[in-house]
This record gives sequence, C-alpha cells and structure tokens, in this order.
Amino acid sequence: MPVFLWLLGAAALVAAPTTVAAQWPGEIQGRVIDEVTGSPVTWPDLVLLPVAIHSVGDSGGRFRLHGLAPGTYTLSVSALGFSTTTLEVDVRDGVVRDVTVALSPVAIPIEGVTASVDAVPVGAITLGAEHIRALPANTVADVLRTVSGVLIATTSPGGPETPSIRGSATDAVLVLVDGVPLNDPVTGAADLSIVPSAGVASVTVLVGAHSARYGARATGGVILIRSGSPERGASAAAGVGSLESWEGEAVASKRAGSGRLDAVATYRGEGGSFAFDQAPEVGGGTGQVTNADSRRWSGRLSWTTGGDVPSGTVGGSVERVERGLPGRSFAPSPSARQTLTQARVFGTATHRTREGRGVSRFAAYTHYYDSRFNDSAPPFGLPFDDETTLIGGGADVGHSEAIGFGTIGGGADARLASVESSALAETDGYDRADLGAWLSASIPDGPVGTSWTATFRLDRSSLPASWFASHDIGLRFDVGRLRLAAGHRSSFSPPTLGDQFFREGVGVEPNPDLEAERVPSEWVGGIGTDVSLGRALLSADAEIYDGDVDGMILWQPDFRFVWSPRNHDVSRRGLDVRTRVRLPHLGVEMWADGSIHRTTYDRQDSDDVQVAYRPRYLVSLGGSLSHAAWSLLVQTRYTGARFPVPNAVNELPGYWGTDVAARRSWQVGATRLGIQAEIERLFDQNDALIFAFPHPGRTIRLTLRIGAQASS
Amino acid sequence: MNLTFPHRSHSVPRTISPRFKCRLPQLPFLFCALVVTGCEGDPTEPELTLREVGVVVASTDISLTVFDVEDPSITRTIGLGPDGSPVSLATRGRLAAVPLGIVPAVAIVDLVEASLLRTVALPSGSGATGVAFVNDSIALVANPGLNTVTPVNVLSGLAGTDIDVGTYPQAIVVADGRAYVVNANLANFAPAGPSSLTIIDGATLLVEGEITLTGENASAASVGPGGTLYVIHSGTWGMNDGSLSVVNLSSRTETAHVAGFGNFPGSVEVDERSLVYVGVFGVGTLVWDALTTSFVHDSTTPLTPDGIASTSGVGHDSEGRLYTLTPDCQLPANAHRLSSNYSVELSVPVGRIGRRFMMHRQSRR
Repeated sequence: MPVFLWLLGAAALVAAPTTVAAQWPGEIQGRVIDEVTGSPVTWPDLVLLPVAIHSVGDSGGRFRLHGLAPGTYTLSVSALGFSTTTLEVDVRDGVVRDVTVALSPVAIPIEGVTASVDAVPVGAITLGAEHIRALPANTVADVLRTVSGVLIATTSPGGPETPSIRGSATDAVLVLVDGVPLNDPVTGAADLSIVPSAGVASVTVLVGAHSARYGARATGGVILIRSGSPERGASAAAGVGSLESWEGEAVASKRAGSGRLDAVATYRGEGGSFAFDQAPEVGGGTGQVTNADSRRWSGRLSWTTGGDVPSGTVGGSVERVERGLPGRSFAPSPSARQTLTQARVFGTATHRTREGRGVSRFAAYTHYYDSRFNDSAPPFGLPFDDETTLIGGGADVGHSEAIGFGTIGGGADARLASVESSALAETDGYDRADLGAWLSASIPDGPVGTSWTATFRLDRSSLPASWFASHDIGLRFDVGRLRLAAGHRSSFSPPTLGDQFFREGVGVEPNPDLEAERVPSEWVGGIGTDVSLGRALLSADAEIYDGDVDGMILWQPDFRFVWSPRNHDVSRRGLDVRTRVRLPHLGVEMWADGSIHRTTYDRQDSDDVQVAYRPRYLVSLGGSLSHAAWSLLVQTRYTGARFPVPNAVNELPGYWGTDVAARRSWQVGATRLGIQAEIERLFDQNDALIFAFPHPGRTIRLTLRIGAQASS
Repeated sequence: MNLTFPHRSHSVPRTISPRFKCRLPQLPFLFCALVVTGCEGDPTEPELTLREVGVVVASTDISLTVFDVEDPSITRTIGLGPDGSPVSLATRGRLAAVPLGIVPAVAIVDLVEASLLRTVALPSGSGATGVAFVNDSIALVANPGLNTVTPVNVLSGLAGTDIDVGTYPQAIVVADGRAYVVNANLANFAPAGPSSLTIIDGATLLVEGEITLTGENASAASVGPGGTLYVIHSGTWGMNDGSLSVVNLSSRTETAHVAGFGNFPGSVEVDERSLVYVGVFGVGTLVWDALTTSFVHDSTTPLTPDGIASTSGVGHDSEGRLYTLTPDCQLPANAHRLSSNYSVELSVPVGRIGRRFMMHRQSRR
C-alpha cells in the first residue's frame, strides 16, 4: 500500500484547524431567528441573488447553501409573519460563511414575499435536512428520486442504487460525500444505497456538465452530500416494515470545545424474498425473488469548528454492506453475494488573509474500500469470487482573492487511488491519478445588472493518459420578476477501470482502447420567477440544455454476443421544469416537475432512438400538508417509456409510482416523540426501471423517533 | 452460427382466420394487407402471387427484421422481447419461432401480422438456442444449458416433456421427417470433446441414435443435395480451428471432416450445386465445393461484401441467389445479395449494432 496515501490522510487530520470549512466551492450556512425573542424562525425562505438560488431552512431556522462561486451575494430572508431582511455575503472558494439573520416580526402577512423552492434555473438544487426528513426515504437515493432530472437505477430493494442525470451513464455522475468521492473504483458508479438519509444535513445536485469545477466524472452532474445533524441534541429512531425490514438510527450533535461534534450510526436490514408476476415476454407465470436480503451499517463522526475563517472540519465515516444479488427474474442468482466495507477520513481547513480579501483552502481525504462479489453457481458463465481493494486519497488547495471588479481564484487538486482487484486483468493492481488545476473569475456586478462567472480547468488523467480542458461560463441577470440565466460548459468522464481492464471472461471483454466521454459544448438557458397571489406563493423555473456527448461509454454485445464497452456519440438536449405552490398559512406545499431528456444515438441515418434505458420523460407530482403536529406527504413519479435495446423496438411502457408518508409528533418537555408511517408504491405498482428486476410493489414502514434538542 | 433450411410445407396453422386459409398458407407479412383487401372485397379475385422474404434475427435489438426479396426497400421489424440473446430461428407457415438465449423461452412470431404472438416458457437454465419445426404445430427448441430439447406447440403455447440429447445442443435441422440436433459438447463454454448429432424421429419424438463427429463446438448445420448434412464446427475462438463435417444421413456416418474454415465459423448454407457457404466472423464467407472437395474461396480469399471481412449468416433464395449477413457494431448491418460472380448486387439494412443473424426464406407459391 502506498505510504503517501496514509501520509495524505494524516496530513488531513493534522491540518484541520479550529473552525468550519467546506468542500469546494463556497457555501453559506446560518440560522434565522426572531429578532425579539431570539427563538428560531421555522422554515425561513431564502433567496440568494444574483444567482437566484432558492432554498428553505429547517424547523430550527437553519439553512445551508452549497455550490457557490466566489463573489458577493445578496441573501434575502423572509418568513411568514416577519419582515424580509437582506444582507450582503461575501463568498470565497472553499469557505463556509456562517451568518445569523434576525427577522423582525410583523403583524400582517407581507405581500410579495419571496417564495421558496428547492430548485434554481442554472445551478444547484439543494434539499435541506428538514426536507429530507419529511420524505419517505431510507437512503440518499430515495431523496434524489424526488429531484427532477435525476433517475435512480436499482435492481432489488436492498441492492445498489446508482444515479443518472439527464440521460447520463451512472458512472458519469460524480458523488461527493463530505468531499470524498463515492464513485466505485471499478465501475465508476456511485452506490447511494450505502448512504443513509439519516444524519444528512443537505443534498445538493448540480445538474449538467461541471468538470470545470469538479474535474473527472462530472459530465451528467454532481451530487454533493453533506453530513451533519440538523439539530443540536440527540435522537434515536427505530423502524419496522414490509420485506422483513428493520432499521435503527442514532444521531447526536453537541458542542465540543470550540466546535461541534456530530455522530450518526444507522442500521438497516431487509429480508430476501418476495413474490412477483413474471413478465409475459419471458414466459409469464409467477415467481419468487430470493437472495434479495441486505444488511447495511454506517457510522459517521465529525467535528467542526466556528463559523468563520479560519475554520475546519475533520471527520470520518465507515459503511458496511452485506447483501444478496438476486439476479434477473428469469435467471435468478440464488447464491450471488456482495460484501462491501469502506471507510473515509477527511479534513478541510481554510484561512483568510489579514486584509480579509483573500481566502486559502486546503482539504484532504483518505479512502479505504473493499468489495467482494462472489457467486458459486451463476445462471450464466463460470463461478466467481472477486475482491477489489482500494486505498485512495485526495487533496486540493486553492486561493481566491477579492479584487476591484470581483473575485479571482485558482487552485489545484489531486485524486489518487491504488486498486487491486481479482476482477481486473492485472492482479498486481492499478494506480490511478487524476490531477487538475483551475482558474476562476467572477463579476457580481457586471454591465446592465448582469453577473458573470467563468472557470477554466485543466485535468490530467492517468488511465487513459490524457489531458482534458473544461470550462464553465455563466451569465445571470434579472428582468423584473424574471430570473434569466445562460451558460456554456464542457466536461469529461474517463473510462473506468472496469471498462478498460475488466478481466476477460465468458461473455465479457474489456476495451483498453476506450476513450473518455466528453461533453465539449453544453449550452444551458434558464428562466425563473416568483410571484405571490394573495397568500399563495408561486414559483416556476425552467432550464433548457443542449450538449452532445462525444463517445458516451455504453456496454453492448458484439456479433459473438460478447459484451464490451464502446464509445458512442450521443445527441443530448432537453428541458427541466419545476413549479411550486406554497400556502404557508395552511401549511400546504404542492409541486409539479417534469423533464424531457432527449438522449439519442447520433447515427448517420439517425432515427431518433433513445439510448437504452434512458427514459425521455420524467414527471414528479406531489404535495405536503403540515398542520400542528401532523404532516402528510404524497408524491407520485412517472418514469417514461424506455427502450431496453439500442433500437426503437421492445419498448417498455412508462409507469407511475406513488408514495405516501404521514407523521405525528409530540413535545413532552424537552423530549420530542414522533411516529411516521410510509407507504411506498401505494397502488402496488410492480414496474421497475430495468426489465426483469421486479419491484416488490407496495411496502409499508413504521418508524418511531425520540429526540431531545440541546438548549444551545 | 446456425442456419435453418427453408421449410416447404405450406399447411395452415389453425389460428388463422378462415378467410386466410385459402389464400395465405405461406404468406409473409408484407403481403398481408393486400390479401386482406382482396379477400374482403372480392372472394372470386384470383390468388395473389406470393413473394419470398428474408427473415433476420437481430440479436442485440432482440428483434426480427423481415424484408421482401423482390423489393428489399420494404422491411418490417418485430420486437421479440425486452431481454434475451436470440441467435437462431425457424419458420413454418406464417409463424417464426425464435429461442431467446439467456431468457428461457421461445418467441412465436406471426409473420403475417408482424407481431409477437406469444412467448412460451422453457425450463429454467435452458439457454434456448437452436430451433426447428417438425410439423405445423411442433417446434423443437434446444436447451444447451440442460442438454435437452423441448417440444413446443407453437399454436397452443404449451411446452412438452424434455428430450435428452447430447451435450450442449445449439442447433437443430430437420430432414426427411427427422430432427438432427447439433451438440457442441461444451463444458464451461469451452470444447470438451468432439461434437455429435442426436437423431430424433419427427413423429414420435423419440431419440433414434447419435452420430459422433470429428470437429469441436458444432454450431450450425445445413442439408444439401443427396441427403447430405453439412455441420460447421466453430472450434475455439482465436485458435483458427474451424472445420466442417460431411454426414451421410442415410448411413448415419460422418463421411468427411474438412479443416481450414478459419477462426470461429458460425453459419453454413448449401446450394443446389453442393457449394457450401460458411460465414466466418472476422473473415468473411468461405466457399467449399462438396463435389470437388476443394475450396473455391478459402480463408485467405474469402468473400467480403462491401469489403467488410465478417459474415454472421449466409443463405440463398429460391432463385439460388446467395445472401450474406454482415454484422456491425456502429452502423446498420446489411444483408448482401451476391451475383453469380459474388459481387454485391443488392444491400438491405437489416439491423444495427453488433448482432448475430439468422436468415430464413419462404418460397413462392
């Protein structure tokens, strides 16, 4: 094992100083309080201008805004019964700005108060802790299913859950958990099923090509998962549900020295059997899925300091998964198993110059990963027992400086990994290095009220050995109530170790000559608005994009029926629309989101064939009602028709899935009790994204929760 | 690669509506609309001349492409199902049967309606590859994963009791009322010994005997003039050991074994002149003359229509015209019709992206 990787991790721990820091880029976090009483203002509405990022705080008035380019922003905070307050916030790369906003209570509702949505025209979609907790969600994958444009692929109830954004491959979505990549070292896809939603402070989705900021594997988008407790105090929960599922979680957050200590531990186990109707296309009849059991443990511990620079975070997490891989319905794998153990240690530190105009940042992590797949009697091919071990690490440094017209910055980062896997051709292992350097500039107050940002980045990937240049240029401006934005970006995603060096076997063959897939030119344009109609707050955002993928990596069989990855040019353009209606006085929120993702093979005689298993249409409808101690959430999602093959035949029809969650809580002194009932697939729909991996249909889960909020 | 001979039987499946019975016993789907109009408009109208079609299995797309031999611009594509790895087919009357490979099932396609009629489940672990009709209602489907053959009633959708055959059957041909099951004899997907043929009586579905062959990994067979069966052995990928067995069906003996058929041949077709055409992946089409027992085009001089050195299927129509199928991973694959001097006289797009093909034809009436 390379010594430098351990040294890197040690450096991260040593370097973590005394205050809060963040992953790249900048963030704003804070708390909204009543100016008179000092008590938290629940569910405050937040609008960040000029980038038009909207978010909503949690019940404790806390909020966090991720993915911010350096610059000066105007934060507008409002809440029902309070006057709107605005303040200027200076954001630097890698810095978490901690602010406290005091709102003045007013006697009557304010007309024209800004609505809150979890979406923005060009930029980030942020879901806060309170929002996440209200969802019927076990994992971050369940959370992301509610985000327009995001598709989660899964093969069994407790199986891997991998995200695709706007028709991307699952290995073209970069997922960072506290700044550490979650993407699998062999397949490149991030398994979100191992990240429980408990103890997640926020989930931010950056849709589209974002390599200019995040480097490799960000062609479809980036998902930033931030751990942390939503409240200071402690809570515990236990749940039971269908499919013999059991779960438990414990979350604690308390002051420790000059900072805060957060700890989360979770467990979830599921049974391994359910009945299903075999599709008529494979002979019909009924069947029984077996070997679908899973057990998942996770633990996280982190310590963060202060609210302003210098600041720092140091933490670690560990996850373990044991599960069966039931295989396809017509060819079950009764003995296929996966065991996964991984651990991460991370630290960040930032430092502000004396003059306060410059900010420097350093972050580092180490990552240990061990995964074993084995099947003594597979339905196809030969028995296998493959183990993959990764020792990896990364670091990034950067500095940004406020100058006359705005902010400029630059930095460099590195992700290193040493992988040994019996699933790969070279048993001696592979060393992978992804290095990048970037420059950025922002002009928050440009001509005629515009705001400009520009980032340029150069990456060097070792497998394959190539240079990649990426850029991201954005323009935003307001016209009356309309928020307008436009941008031009590029991105890349290199082939994975599995693509290039998978050990050749029965029916599979690696492709060492594979090239990175690229999005050389992605245009985006967005428009959004917020209006108030009486007490109703309406918001709507739409974003169009057009960015072909050169050499999308797709696995397909050749004429011998040997599967292998190949580069395919893909035409890609689409539209995301998100609308919200809120009636704060009634505690009602409704949403309707829709996406059209045209992701088609770019062929000489193109016949508009959607890439296999990339549905063109996605719809999400829902509503929530909060009244007194009760809350109710109903959401339904439509996954459009898709082709299972690379041609316009054998179409799988679209399907709906409806989930319901109801919650009741009681406050008994300092103790809060809660009970939550969730029904997934209310109408017992069995359809699944991927053919022959049936969904169990309606499942029910009941969760009891007890918590005590700290006084501070 | 397996290639079945065209079936000359024109009997009518019982599921066909009465108005079709007199006019459409062997009608390919492309004529369906025309005949329907004729039948309904004027019962006394003369029978329409039926045309010959090519039927191609697109393995990656899991579909059938049907094209009119006389007017190849007219094609239809029929989806077989969302999953599977079909590489073989058989047709009879208006029906086609396509084993689905990794999906333990056989798809029954109505070529007249250009639709999937039904999918019949086979035993789990079948590996369904290789099929042939023994009469109008019964098709035998090979189960290489189980070393059996399943009789399937294509009209009722019922599967019968499995018949034990040799090891790893992956093709079936029917001649003179008997089914000849081509056993590749693979173990862990590698040759474990010489290939063999299992002979099944088409009427009783009883095994009559077995013929041991010389080559390894038999994958396709074709019946030629004089009751001679030609079996192509794929051998081992990369070993350049493809070979051909010549089997006298009367004496049930292998009369010759010919080497030199390149790397992993997968399809074979014999014409009326006893010319044996063998499709070889990564090479092209080889031609061997059974009368002179010599190569006309060997692996150093293969037929490569459009310059593409790969052939995934071969066949010929009732006019004796040779067709070869060229797979491709990115561009549409093509069925090429070759002239008497083997130049390309016609190309028909029949599918897309790295697929294996079967070709079948139906005769004029």
